[in-house]
Amino acid sequence: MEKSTRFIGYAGCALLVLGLIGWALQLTGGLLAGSGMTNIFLWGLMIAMFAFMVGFGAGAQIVASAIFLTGREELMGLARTASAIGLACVGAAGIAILADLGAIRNILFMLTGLNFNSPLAWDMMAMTAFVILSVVQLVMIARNSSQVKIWATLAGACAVVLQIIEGLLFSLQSVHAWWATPIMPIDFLAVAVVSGSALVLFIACMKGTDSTGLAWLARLCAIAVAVHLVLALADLGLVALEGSPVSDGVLAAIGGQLPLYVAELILPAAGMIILFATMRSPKGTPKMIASALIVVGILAHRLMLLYPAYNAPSLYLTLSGTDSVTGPYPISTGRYLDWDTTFALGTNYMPAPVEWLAALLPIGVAIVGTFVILWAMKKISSTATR
Amino acid sequence: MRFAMAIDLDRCIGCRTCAVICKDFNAQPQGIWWNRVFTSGTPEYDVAVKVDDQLRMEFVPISCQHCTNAPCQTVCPTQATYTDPDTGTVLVDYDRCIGCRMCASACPYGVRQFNWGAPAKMAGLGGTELEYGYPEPYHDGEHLVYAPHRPEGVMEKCTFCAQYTSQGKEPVCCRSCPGNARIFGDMDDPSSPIRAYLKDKEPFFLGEEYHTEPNIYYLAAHKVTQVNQVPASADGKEA
Ligand code: SF4
Ligand code: SF4
Ligand code: SF4
Repeated sequence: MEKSTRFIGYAGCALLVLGLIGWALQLTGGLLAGSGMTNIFLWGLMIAMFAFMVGFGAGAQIVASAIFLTGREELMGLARTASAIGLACVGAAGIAILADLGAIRNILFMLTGLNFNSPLAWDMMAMTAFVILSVVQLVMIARNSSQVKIWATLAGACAVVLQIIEGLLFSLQSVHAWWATPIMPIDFLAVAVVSGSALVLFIACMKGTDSTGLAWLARLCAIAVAVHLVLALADLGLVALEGSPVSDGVLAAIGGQLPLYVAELILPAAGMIILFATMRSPKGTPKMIASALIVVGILAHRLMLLYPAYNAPSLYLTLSGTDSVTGPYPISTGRYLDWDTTFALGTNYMPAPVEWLAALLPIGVAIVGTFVILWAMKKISSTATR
Repeated sequence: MRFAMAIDLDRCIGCRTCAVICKDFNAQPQGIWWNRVFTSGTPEYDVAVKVDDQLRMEFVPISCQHCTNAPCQTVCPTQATYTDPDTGTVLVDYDRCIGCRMCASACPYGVRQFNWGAPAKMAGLGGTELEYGYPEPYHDGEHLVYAPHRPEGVMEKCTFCAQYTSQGKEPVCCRSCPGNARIFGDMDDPSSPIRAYLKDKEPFFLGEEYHTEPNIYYLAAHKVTQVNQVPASADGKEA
C-alpha cells in the first residue's frame, strides 16, 4: 500500500474513533442535549453531513456507472474504487441519520410500523435498495463477471432515484420556502454528480491516471458544477421574486449567513473555472486544488440548506380587519435551560463541540468502509481466480 | 366525533393563563410550551401596532391545530404521530417516536416541542423541583400519549388534554380561560357548545396557505371599542 493511502486509512480510523466518542457523549449526556439545535433549528450539522455523504455516495456510483457504460478502459480501476466509495458513503449517510435520532431505542418501529407516506421511509427503502444493488455490483466487479455493466446500470439508476428522494425529503416540506421548490430534487442530483466526480477526480490525480481519463472526469465535474450553480441561482431567484413576508424572511436568513452563502457559490465556481482552464493539461495539481475547492463549497452548500429554511419564520399573522399589518409568530425554543431564551423567531445555530466531534463519525465510516470494501473485493477476486 | 376548539380573539385578554395552565396540567418539562400567546402583527408579546392612526393590540393563542390534513402525521416514519380515529385528535406515541424531528420540521405552526435532553422539571426556590401535572401516564389504546415524566428525545405537543377529555372533561385551557375565549366540543354533534358558539359566525383558520385543514376555529377581533388616537407628534418617536 502506498504511503499516502496508508495515511488516509489511519486518518479514517482516527476519525471513526473520535466520531464514536462524540456520539457516545451525545447519547450518555442527555441525547442531543449537547447540541446547538433548537425547536426552531431542528436539524443541524449531522443532517448536513448526511446530505453531504449521500451526495458523495450516489455521485461516486453515478460516475462509476458512467465509466462502465462508456467502457473507458483508462478509468476502469477508478470505477472499481468509485463503486466502493459509493457504498461506503451511502452507509455513512445511514449512520449519520441514526446518530441524529433522539430516541434510537425505538428504531425497530422503522421496520414494524413503517409509514409508507413518509419521505424518510422512502429514503430508507431507497438506501436499502442501493446497498443491495451496490453489493451485487461490487461482487460482480470483483469476480470480473460479464454482468458488471448490467449491475452497474442498476446501481447507477438506483443512485439517481436515491438522490431525487433526498431532494424530495426537503422539497416536500412546503412550510420551508427555501426547500419547497421543484428545483430542489434536480439540484440534489446535480450536486451528487458534482461531489462524486470531484472526489473521483481527486483520487485519479493522486493515482496519476492518464491525461485522457483526467480530462474526461474534469469535464464531467466542471459541467456538473455549472448546472448546479445555474440551479442554485434559479432557486435564489424564485425566492427573491416571490416578494412575500415568508420569502423576505428567507432572504434575511441568507443575509445572516452571507459568508457561508458566498462560499457555497464562489468556491465551486472557482473550481469549475480551474477545471475548464486546465482540462487538457496532464498536470494533476490544479485539478486536485479545483476538486478540493468544489468539495468545500458543497459542504457550505449543505450547511446553507438549513439556515435559510429554519431561520425564516413560516407563520405570519395579520391583525384582524387589516391586510397590511403582518408579523411573524415566535416559537418556543425548547432550550430555556441552556440559554434563558424561551421564545424566538430564529436561533443562531452554531454546532456545539460534541456535534463537531460526532460529525466525524460518518467521514470515518466512509473512509474505513471504502478500505474494507476494497479489501473484501480483493479477497473475492483472488478466490475467484484461484 | 371530531374534537375542535374555537378561539374568540374578541374575548382573549392576552393573560397567558391558558399557556401556563397547559404547561402545568400537562407536566411540560422546563423550556417546553405546547401553547403560547403573542400579539398579532408584531413578533413581540404585549406590543401594540399602529393602524389608521390608532394603536391596537390583539392577542392570538396558538397550540396544535389538530389538522385534518396533518403534515406532521404524513412525514412521521414510524406512525408515532397518528390521528385518533374516535376524536380526530392528532397525538404522539412517546413509545414509538424515534426523535427524528421530521414532524416538527413539517408543521407550519411551530407547535411541536422536542425533548433535546433529559427532560427537566421546573425549578422551585432553593434548588427544589416542582411536581406538577396529571399524575398518571395516559394510554390511548396501546399508545402512550401522556406521561408525567417525559421520556428522553421524543416529540410532544398539545393532545387536546387527552387524559381529561377521555374522562368527559374539557381541556384545561378552556376551563381556565378568564375571558371564556376558548370553546371546546365535538363538531359532529349539532348540540355541542362549539357548534352553538360558531353558529352564524365566520371563523378563519391559521396558515390556510398550507392546506392543513385545522380544527382550531379562530374568530376575528372586529370590535374596536375605544379609539385612542396617536398624536401626530408621536410619529417618528417609535422605537
Ligand atoms: S398544528 Fe402542526 S403538529 Fe398540530 S396537527 Fe397540524 S401539523 Fe401537526
Ligand atoms: S420525531 Fe417522532 S413523532 Fe416526529 S416524525 Fe419523528 S418519529 Fe414521528
Ligand atoms: S387543549 Fe390541553 S394540551 Fe391543548 S393547548 Fe389546551 S391545555 Fe394545552
